[in-house]
Amino acid sequence: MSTLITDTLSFDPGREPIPLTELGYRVVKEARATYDGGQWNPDTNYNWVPGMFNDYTPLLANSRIRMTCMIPYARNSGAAHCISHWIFYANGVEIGRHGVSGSHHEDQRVYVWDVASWGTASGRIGYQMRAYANDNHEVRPYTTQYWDGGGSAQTCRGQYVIQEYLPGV
Amino acid sequence: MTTLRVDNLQHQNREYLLPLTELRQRVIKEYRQTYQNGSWEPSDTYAWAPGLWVDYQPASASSRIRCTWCFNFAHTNGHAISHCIFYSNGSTEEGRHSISGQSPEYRHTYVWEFDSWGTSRARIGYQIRRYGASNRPRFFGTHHWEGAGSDQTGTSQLFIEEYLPIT
Repeated sequence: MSTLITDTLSFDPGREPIPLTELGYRVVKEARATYDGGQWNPDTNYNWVPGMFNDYTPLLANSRIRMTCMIPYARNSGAAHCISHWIFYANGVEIGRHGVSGSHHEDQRVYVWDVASWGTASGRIGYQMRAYANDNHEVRPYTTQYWDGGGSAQTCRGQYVIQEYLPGV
Repeated sequence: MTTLRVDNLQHQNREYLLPLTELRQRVIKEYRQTYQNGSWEPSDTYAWAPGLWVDYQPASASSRIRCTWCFNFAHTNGHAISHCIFYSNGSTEEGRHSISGQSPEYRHTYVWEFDSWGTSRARIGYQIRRYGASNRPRFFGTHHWEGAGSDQTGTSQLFIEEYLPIT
């Protein structure tokens, strides 16, 4: 074999090849999961939300990691006004926190978090969550409160996607 | 130096090399921003929401710009009402919506996409006002936390991917 070195490579009829390094968002690794385990009952301690975390090993130390979480939830039947607290972690570091609270709410929401790679060792990335109070003001992921004209707890699906990418230079 | 022109290029394993120009979405520039400066309550006048705008210079005049905005929203006293207008190129309204509810505390994710306006620097983002003094919304924080009323500092993030579509 031999090596050809030239200052220009052209596809016929003359389109210039562009190196991958010129991509502004180059995905180098991805992970995803679907959760069909049914509703989850949180308590007043922070716990990892089932189906919403990943023990992830970054491919690179100089990449960025974007996690998109799709989480359905509903209020528990104990109270109209439901309150919950959510904290997103990456490799043991809190990235941000927010509430999921309101009156008579049932929804699915999308949360996107983007963090710098923590190196190439495995670390957990995802959500911890707790209820405001037990048996009252509860928010329960992966279920509904009402459905088709009645009170009905439907099993709802959660999904997350992780894209590890190299940003443009 | 010389120019080599061929009909195709192959790896040793006979896979054809494809030019990046065949990507349906080729990201040519990306931007991201994080805001952690605490709660903000809008007034009755539209104003740029802190942390939810960026003065952006497109890399190309023929690209499309996709914006993903993520931020917290909470209430001050029960029923909160706010009105949001998303602008590109400083003053081009891309769309408007409300964020309102009874005792709401959420994190919101909104995605907007529009054509590049050229290669000059201009502002992208949200202008926001409240409905009135009796229905006060509060952005970027919380109302309750861990069994009590507590305004926690939230983390807003926004992302931009500017890409060239195949036409």
